[in-house]
Amino acid sequence: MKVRINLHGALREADARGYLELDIPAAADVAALRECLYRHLQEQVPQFGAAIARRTAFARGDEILPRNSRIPEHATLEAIPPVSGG
Amino acid sequence: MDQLHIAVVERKTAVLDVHAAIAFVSDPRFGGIASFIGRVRDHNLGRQVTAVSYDIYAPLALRVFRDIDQQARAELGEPLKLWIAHACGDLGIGDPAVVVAAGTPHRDEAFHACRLAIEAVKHAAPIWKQEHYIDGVSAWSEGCSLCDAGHTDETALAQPDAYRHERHA
Repeated sequence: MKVRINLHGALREADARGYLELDIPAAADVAALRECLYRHLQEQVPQFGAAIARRTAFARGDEILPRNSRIPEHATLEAIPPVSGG
Repeated sequence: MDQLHIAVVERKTAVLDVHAAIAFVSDPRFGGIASFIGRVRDHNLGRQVTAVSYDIYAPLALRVFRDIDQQARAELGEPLKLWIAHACGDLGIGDPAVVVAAGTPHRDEAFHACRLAIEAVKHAAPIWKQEHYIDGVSAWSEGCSLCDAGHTDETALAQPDAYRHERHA
């Protein structure tokens, strides 16, 4: 199933559009989505450091999704790489 | 009367207003006001910085700011007034990037609330800093992962103790 991932911070440099569309397994959870993002970056943007994907959280609206949260089909999510405000 | 002011401020349209922050948290009941102003500095890790850019995912950032307020009230009780504002976009050296102000009856609570808020902003809010160096290179700052920060009903603010121990420049 397809999900749209809006990119933020350093992840913006992985795709000039500012988002990715990933094909993920049905009933995938956040941990599985994280691995899908990691593999996508490794394969499609090899010059980009894919390791950041493994430190990336995902949010929907104003809520960060817990690790075991199931990803709904056609969801639009926000990729939240490590933060550095202040 | 409002007890909380939170904002993500686009630098193109406004500058963070420190005087407004102090005025907001002022109150006849309060003998203590603590504030923190984070400004863009001209160096980091031995490199000369010429400017920074902040990217913010505002819907979640504002949620985190509200959670910070709830956490502060849970720890310190009432009355408390809190101001949290972070700049977004391109900032020059010396520009204010973040302003936190807390007003309480006594200084101890004001210091505590201000420190709690700024540390949580730095470590739990979806804000990203990109530094621009004098040699033309730019780099995103290393940061704190929010992978374990999924909100539940029991934990309004993710990793509530973590920000008290981690240290960032």
